[in-house]
Amino acid sequence: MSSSANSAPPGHADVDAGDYLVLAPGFVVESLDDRQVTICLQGVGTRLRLPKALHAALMRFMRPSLLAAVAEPLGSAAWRALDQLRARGFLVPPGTPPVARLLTDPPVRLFDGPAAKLVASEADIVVVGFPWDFGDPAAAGARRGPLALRETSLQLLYSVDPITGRAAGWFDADERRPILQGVAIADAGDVLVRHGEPARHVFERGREAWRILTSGGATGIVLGGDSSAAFVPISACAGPGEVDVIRVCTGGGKTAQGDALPTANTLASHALALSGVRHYYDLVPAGRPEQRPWPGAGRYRQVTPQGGDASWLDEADVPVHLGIDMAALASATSTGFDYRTVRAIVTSVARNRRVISIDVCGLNPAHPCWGALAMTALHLLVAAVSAARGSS
Amino acid sequence: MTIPPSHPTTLFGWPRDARQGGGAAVAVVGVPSDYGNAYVSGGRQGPAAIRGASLGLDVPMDAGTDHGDIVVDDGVDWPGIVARTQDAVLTRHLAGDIPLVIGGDHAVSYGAIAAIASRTPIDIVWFDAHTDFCPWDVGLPHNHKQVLRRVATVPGVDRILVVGHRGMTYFDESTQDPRLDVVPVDGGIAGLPHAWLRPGAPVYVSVDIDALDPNIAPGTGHPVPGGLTIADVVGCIQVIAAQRQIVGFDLTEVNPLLDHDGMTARAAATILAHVTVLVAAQARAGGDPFLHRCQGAYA
Repeated sequence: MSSSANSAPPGHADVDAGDYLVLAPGFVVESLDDRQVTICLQGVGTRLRLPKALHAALMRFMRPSLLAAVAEPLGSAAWRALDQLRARGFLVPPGTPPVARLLTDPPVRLFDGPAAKLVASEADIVVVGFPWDFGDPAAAGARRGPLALRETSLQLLYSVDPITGRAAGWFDADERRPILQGVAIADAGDVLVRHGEPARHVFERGREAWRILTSGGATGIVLGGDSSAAFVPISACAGPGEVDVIRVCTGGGKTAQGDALPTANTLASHALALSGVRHYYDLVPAGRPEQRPWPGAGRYRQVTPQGGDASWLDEADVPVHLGIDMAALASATSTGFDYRTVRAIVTSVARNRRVISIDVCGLNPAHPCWGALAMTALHLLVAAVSAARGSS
Repeated sequence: MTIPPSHPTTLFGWPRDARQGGGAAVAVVGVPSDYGNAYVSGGRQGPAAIRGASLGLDVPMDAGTDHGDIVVDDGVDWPGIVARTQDAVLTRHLAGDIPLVIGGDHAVSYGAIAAIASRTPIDIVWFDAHTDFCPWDVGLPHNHKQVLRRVATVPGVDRILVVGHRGMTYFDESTQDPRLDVVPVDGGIAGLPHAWLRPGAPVYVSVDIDALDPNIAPGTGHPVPGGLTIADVVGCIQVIAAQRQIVGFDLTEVNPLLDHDGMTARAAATILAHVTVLVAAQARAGGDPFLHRCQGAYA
């Protein structure tokens, strides 16, 4: 295949009338009625509505075809429409490898906010679900956590000013001030989990999606899943530079074994095996500092909010991944941190340190008081993001 | 009459008939409706759950009577349920009782308040994680997020106190009406405006169970973390009742479908046990003479 500017109209120098094109791998028709057709490019998430005539022309590319042959003459309206579809990735040269599908669309999005395509997000905050519950034997059902949390979030709808498009934010009745005004939030969906495939692929997929989505500077939020889901943003953040990890959790912690995948119990050990993780703090409701046998355990601290070690709040240039394991919070059926303490912790971290990513894990709709747990998680998430953005 | 003794259990095991209740002060009316909650259903089972949870509590048998539930399953729509609630509460009010409405979602409070306010000026004490002041169009039915805004339009309703407001909301609901006093959840009794600690108009007390912390009362449709304790709610009512007569009260938004081991229904029944004893004591003390004149007008 060649590409030449000689025969293409202005602005389309990369198309040659002699190029054969086919429908891109991942092309699907989502709906088709008497008037229009919705097409989608799976893997990328691009979705378009077409008139039926254009759809009919597009279908001729089920076999390798020339753009100019399908839509003559060159530069006509039909030609330009098809060329737009080529530019959007729906038409590619034969043999083009498929774009790996990293994410799936959720039926509802967090706060009913806008969808984020799998590109560097232009939103300030981009959300990714990691529906994974194989990292904790006690977390059966937590794979539905991201979806169930999104459903609960429909009680706190995201909205934008209809004239300016500026995010309306919310009102924090506890602090008596508006928050997150002008802070754009988008939801990219869930990391694709093909059950039965090597689990390492799922984490790699999550890391790649995270890298793409946050490459424009958006703050990333991952919704678990069990606590091992936090390894996705931690490993992604630790790749390009240094990061500190501060997680509200129940503690625990075992040594990572060989090539084993991260689990809720080995999360800290796995994270500290990454060269980019400078310090790792587990904030636990109670307990005494414990020695860990891990490589890099000297960089690990288990601390309590009331304990003497407050180094996790020391200002530093190194950015922070902030984690909230909801299992650490007291509920109607368990003891742990009270809501206001955790809120104070995440707010302090976000105000003292530069938070670049957040995980909310331990979300399991099989929990006996899921509604209360989910709404608590949403409040903590909003409070943390608000503090991190310094918004008002 | 639209109140059949539909439930085999009465609140606290009280008699169903006023004649058996002797000089009872409290008259229970159940409104098993969650018509006003667009997000989640299940509040319709609240009256039955609360009655069931109340049976182990130590409340005087002569303090009240239970008149059963409003009929809501005969095809009646939401405005009809409101009208039936209003009729039933007015009947009990005119009989000299202190109506206790068990919801149902919080939207049912409007009917009870409208009934009593039609006979006597009242102030409203509203325990709730939310202020329920979302926009509402006059002339349209209201839902449980708008109910207090509609209540504020009722002639006879003057000042309104909201206790327990917290969490993330769409806008600053506390500034929606100049007659509205909002006490944040950490304000406590010390945070009550002085006007509420002085003698004044009779009060109607409305308790949305989501005023409590979700760890105490998880079984509700719109939980908000960081809420009140049962002692906070009861203590606040006691302080206000030391100066004001309670002329009606309700407890709403218990959703057994979302509850765990009946703990929310038990919390609700516990609050009602305290308040009914308080109301009965006020009645034994003679109540408010002005109120009796109002009640007697149609008696």
